[in-house]
Amino acid sequence: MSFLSPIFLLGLPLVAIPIGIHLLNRRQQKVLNWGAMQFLAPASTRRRRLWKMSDLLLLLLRILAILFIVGALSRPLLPVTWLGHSGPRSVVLVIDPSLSMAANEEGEILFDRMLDKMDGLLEELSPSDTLQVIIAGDNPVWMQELPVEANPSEIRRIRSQIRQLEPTLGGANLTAAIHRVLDTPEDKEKMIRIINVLSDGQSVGWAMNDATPWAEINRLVEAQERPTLINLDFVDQAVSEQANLSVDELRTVRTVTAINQPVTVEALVHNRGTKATAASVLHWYSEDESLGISSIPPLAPGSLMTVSVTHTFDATGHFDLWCEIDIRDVLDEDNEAHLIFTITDSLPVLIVDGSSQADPLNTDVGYLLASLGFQEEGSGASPTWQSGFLPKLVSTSELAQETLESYRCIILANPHRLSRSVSDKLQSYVQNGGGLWVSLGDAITPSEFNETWYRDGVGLSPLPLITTIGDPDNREAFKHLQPPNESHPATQLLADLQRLDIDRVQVFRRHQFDELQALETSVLLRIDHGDALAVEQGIGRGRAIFLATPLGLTWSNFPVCQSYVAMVHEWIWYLAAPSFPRHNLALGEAILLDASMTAAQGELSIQLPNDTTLDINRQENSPKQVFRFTKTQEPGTYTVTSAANGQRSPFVVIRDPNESTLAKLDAAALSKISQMPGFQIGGRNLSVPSDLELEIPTTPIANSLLVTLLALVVGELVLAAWCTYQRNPKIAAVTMEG
Amino acid sequence: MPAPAEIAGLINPGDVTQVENLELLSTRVIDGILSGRHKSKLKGGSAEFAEHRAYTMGDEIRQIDWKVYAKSDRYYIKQYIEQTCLQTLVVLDASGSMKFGLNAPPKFAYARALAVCLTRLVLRQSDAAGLAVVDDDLRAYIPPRSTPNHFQSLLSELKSASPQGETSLADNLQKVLRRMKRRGLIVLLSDCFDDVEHLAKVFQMIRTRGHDVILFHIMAPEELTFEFSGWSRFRCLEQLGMKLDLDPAFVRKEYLANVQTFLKQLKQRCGELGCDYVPMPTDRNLGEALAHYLKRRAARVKVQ
Repeated sequence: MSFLSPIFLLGLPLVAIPIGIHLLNRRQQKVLNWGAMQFLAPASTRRRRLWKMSDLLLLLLRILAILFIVGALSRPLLPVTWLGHSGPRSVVLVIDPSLSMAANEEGEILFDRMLDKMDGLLEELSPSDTLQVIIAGDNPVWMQELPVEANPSEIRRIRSQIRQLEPTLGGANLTAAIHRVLDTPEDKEKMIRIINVLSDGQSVGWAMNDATPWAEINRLVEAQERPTLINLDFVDQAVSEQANLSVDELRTVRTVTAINQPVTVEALVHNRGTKATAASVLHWYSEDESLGISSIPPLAPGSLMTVSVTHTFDATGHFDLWCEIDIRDVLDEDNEAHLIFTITDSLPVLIVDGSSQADPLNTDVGYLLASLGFQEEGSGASPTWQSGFLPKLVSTSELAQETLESYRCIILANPHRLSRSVSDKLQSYVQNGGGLWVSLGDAITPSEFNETWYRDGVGLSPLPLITTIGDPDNREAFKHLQPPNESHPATQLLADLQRLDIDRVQVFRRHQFDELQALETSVLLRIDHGDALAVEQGIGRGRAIFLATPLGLTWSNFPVCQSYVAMVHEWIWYLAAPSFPRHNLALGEAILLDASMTAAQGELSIQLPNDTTLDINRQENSPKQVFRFTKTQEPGTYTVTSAANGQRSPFVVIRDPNESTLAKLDAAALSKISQMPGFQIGGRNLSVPSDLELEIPTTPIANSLLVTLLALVVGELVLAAWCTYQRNPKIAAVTMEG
Repeated sequence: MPAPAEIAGLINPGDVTQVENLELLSTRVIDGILSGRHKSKLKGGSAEFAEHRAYTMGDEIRQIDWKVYAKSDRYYIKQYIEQTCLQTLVVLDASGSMKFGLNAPPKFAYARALAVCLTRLVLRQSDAAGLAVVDDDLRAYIPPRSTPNHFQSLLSELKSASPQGETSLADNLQKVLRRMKRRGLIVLLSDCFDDVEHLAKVFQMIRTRGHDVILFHIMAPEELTFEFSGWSRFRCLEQLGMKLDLDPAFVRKEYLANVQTFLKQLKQRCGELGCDYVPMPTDRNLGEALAHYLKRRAARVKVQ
């Protein structure tokens, strides 16, 4: 106990005053020789006891009153544990909602077992504690903004909130969650902060191979003013060997394509368990339509295999192409995967012909147009296109008048030097999501290119040109191309040397990029000895590809190779893709709605993976009608619906396949964690280790003393009045009557 | 009869004067030889002829009235009315409790003065007066006599008596009763701090034997009001070592209730037994109180 004004304790000896008065009164007793003892003795027996009690009680009240006055004036601070409290604690529950918590065992999922543990923890709370809950998803989120007092009604409310949670398809970033908790201000009035992590102990989410988050956690723990205890409370899992088939991902070349164009989707199936799986079947669906099945043979632990399906969408719109493995294993939630396709009927492409020829078919552009499926139906009739592209051909001089945003992709075939305004217009177009393909020929010199397109590193080209190499007339001297990168979406198809012949392309003359100007340039095509032929750069939301040779036969034989059409198609789709809203999103990536959804009047609603629906407020008068939804922290399908026309727009946030690996933290990891300051594994609920030195907070009790003093004074007055009444009862003296 | 100066140490002369001309009369006619102012039912040789009765075998020859024989030639004896002495025994309680007195004279002094008055009165009216001094035992007993010098003996005993010891009133009255051969009047001067029922039994015995009883109940005013304050130690006047430390104000109510019950019970039992109960608080003037009582008693006796 401590005192804020200890000087008043000097008044303690005043307690001697009532004691002294009491003793003095007793000493001053009169002595009376009395004859009528037979009447006095019976009366005195009971009354004397009563008097003694009341006298002593009065003395006690007076002593206590003085003590309480002195106590209240000295303003004592009492350790809260003296008042019968366990000591105020700041308790934080870290809830692991990851996919692995949905692992079921004997009909019960780990998440439910975790909820039972949570119940036990909540029962250990006392009203002097505070409670806060953080959901440790991929991006940890607090359940409440501020800690709440752990009174019964709040505990009931929080218990109810937590019990409404379910495991997600996402992961758990437990180190980030602990870091976030430690980074919040401490409650100095609490003697300890206990962070209880409720998880399954899966190694994914603990970042054991990354020292940085742990170093930061250690630093924060050391910096805490109050003791911090981080208790890792893992849900036990009895069965050690389990089989778990997972569809890790669905892969395709592109998710934006034209109507009636076949798309091939591959499913990567992985046994992430520790036991071999039985044979099973994978079902393919497009929305509710069955697309067939793929057989999956028994897989050993850790084995992968790929199954695929090819499908043609015969309508425009957004389609969910998904698959599901027909198997019951320890984790069913990862047996399914989704991919959203955007099907369009035509892709507007702007082709800018830099030549001066009147007939584009006699220029480099002619080969380009042919590759786009141009078919002339006869004089007077409009040309038709078979590839789903809708190109428009303009000259360089007409480019300035074009509304570039109307096109998904712009191809500049052998452009001349452009004016600054046009160049800026193109830069703006790319930054806003447009795709630009510049195929360089003899119409521009390297210096002009550098001035227009490189602009000392701030232009659309990632690299400047040095010079032009080769003789277009010498068809004997040429360069072949290296097989391109098969993992790049723009060159995945081109890399298939069995079906295409990119390795047979002959380049007679080309511009040379100066690759030394940027170390990490994305090169789509390379010449044999390594020089970049085609480079790309992402600028803003869009992309730009620069091909160092024209699209015609003047500098290469590209147009006569099979790869030419594939290249044109793949690169146009690749460049056009950013202009379409993405429907297959990474965790946390915002949902953007296209114009068709935002243009519709009426309210929009979005259904989340946990089946809750949110109404979205839009700015009706916003000129661009852009809608963004950023709360995509949970993997799964999101569906935006327009109330006006019922139009649905699906999105999927891809889950992390590693979350399906149920391997636990091994002994070495557990040992490493337990040795870190503040950590303990499997501690008994919220109990504090006895070796932890705690600074018990104090609470001022002066007000309580004053209230008690008031009661004492009132009690003393009442008792004194009663004693006075007892001493002076209205009793008449006895008279002797004859 | 000793002059007032000789008894001045024991009594206020004014009190003596007040009762000088009064008489202490017995409510019963005492049988026996008549002398003094009380007529006895005994018919024996005395100065006043009562009646003749026929001689029967066994009568004394000297009682034969020869004049009547001469006239009637039959033997008759004379019967006379006798006047007997009132045997008054004053029993003085000399127990320790009688020592008490604060603002009024001590009860014993008051009782002793009363004893002087009474014995003087009895002897003056030619009745016999005796004295018994009791505490836890019959300390002194002077049988009733009517001789003029007897008062000196009584005075002497009264002077030497002092209160001490415990009260054993009922037992000692029994002893006194056994000594009383003839019917008389027993006057008890006491605070009666004894068991009332035991006392009443003795009174009944006394009354059965044909004696009169007058109880002069002497109590101090403080014993009736109990107006003490402050923490006090009450030391018992009878039992050595017995004491009570208390706040009198705290016990006053119950004490007075106890006293009230005692007085009521005592008075009621006296009334039932035909004993005269005379309350004599020591703050009341002795002469006036005694005179008042004697007048009332005389009036009552003459009516009977």
